Amino acid sequence: MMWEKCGSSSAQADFLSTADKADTSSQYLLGLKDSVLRPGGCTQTAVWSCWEDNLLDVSNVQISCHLCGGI
Amino acid sequence: MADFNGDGNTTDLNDTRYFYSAYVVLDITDPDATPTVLGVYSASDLGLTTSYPTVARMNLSSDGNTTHTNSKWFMVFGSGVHGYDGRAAATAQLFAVELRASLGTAPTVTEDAGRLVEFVSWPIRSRWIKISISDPTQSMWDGQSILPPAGSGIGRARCIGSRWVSARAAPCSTSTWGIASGADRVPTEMLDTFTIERRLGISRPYDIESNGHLR
Repeated sequence: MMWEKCGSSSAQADFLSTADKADTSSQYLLGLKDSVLRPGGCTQTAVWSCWEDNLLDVSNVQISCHLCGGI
Repeated sequence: MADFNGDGNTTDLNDTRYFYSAYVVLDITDPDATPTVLGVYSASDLGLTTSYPTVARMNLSSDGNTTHTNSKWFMVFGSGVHGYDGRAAATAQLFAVELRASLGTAPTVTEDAGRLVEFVSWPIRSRWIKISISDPTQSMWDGQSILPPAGSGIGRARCIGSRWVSARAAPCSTSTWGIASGADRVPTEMLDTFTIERRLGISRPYDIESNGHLR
């Protein structure tokens, strides 16, 4: 299973502008599972034929862990 | 423009120069020896790229993984911006330079040429997994960032993620990457836009093994 993780970036027209530096817009992390490499998965026939755009909002997911803060 | 030859003016032919990013290949096989420069690659359409080069070994699926008869090594990176304001003056491209004894002319793979003319692939990160000798590369992903037209303000930047999948078929070259689009080979998109409009930076993809471990 192949995951691609992505992060959003500036929404400003100029990357290196003053407005870019002061931009406090919310940012997003995305994880996309690639369906092309999966056995029996999507076959690429066009640029848009294998979108992974069925996104699930996991903003409210709680995570649990052990060894947190102890590493 | 500068007085590079120190003759007191900036009107000479070589006083106007353009600076682009460049990639230098060094042989550091022997850590005790002075590194040897194997080659340098730069081009005007590279722009001011900050793309990390990624090394990938391609091999035919019909060959054994450790067979080197048809396999080739590539250095892959993306183009960058063309000005200090972070804007692009040309269509973003993905470059694949075959690593040989002599670098020669780089085979260039054009991304989405003509379809989206106002985007720039900065930051673009081409990350190939499975680059070991025994595990040839099959796919890679990159991030693309589309700039709104000048003066349009915010809100028109879009997000794109794309993938390149090699057919791993003869010839073992970039001509089998992605899908055909006219004379070009282009990647397929993973994600075009989502709820909000932001530029999208692509981090390193990772694989989840059957035991749940990341690699």
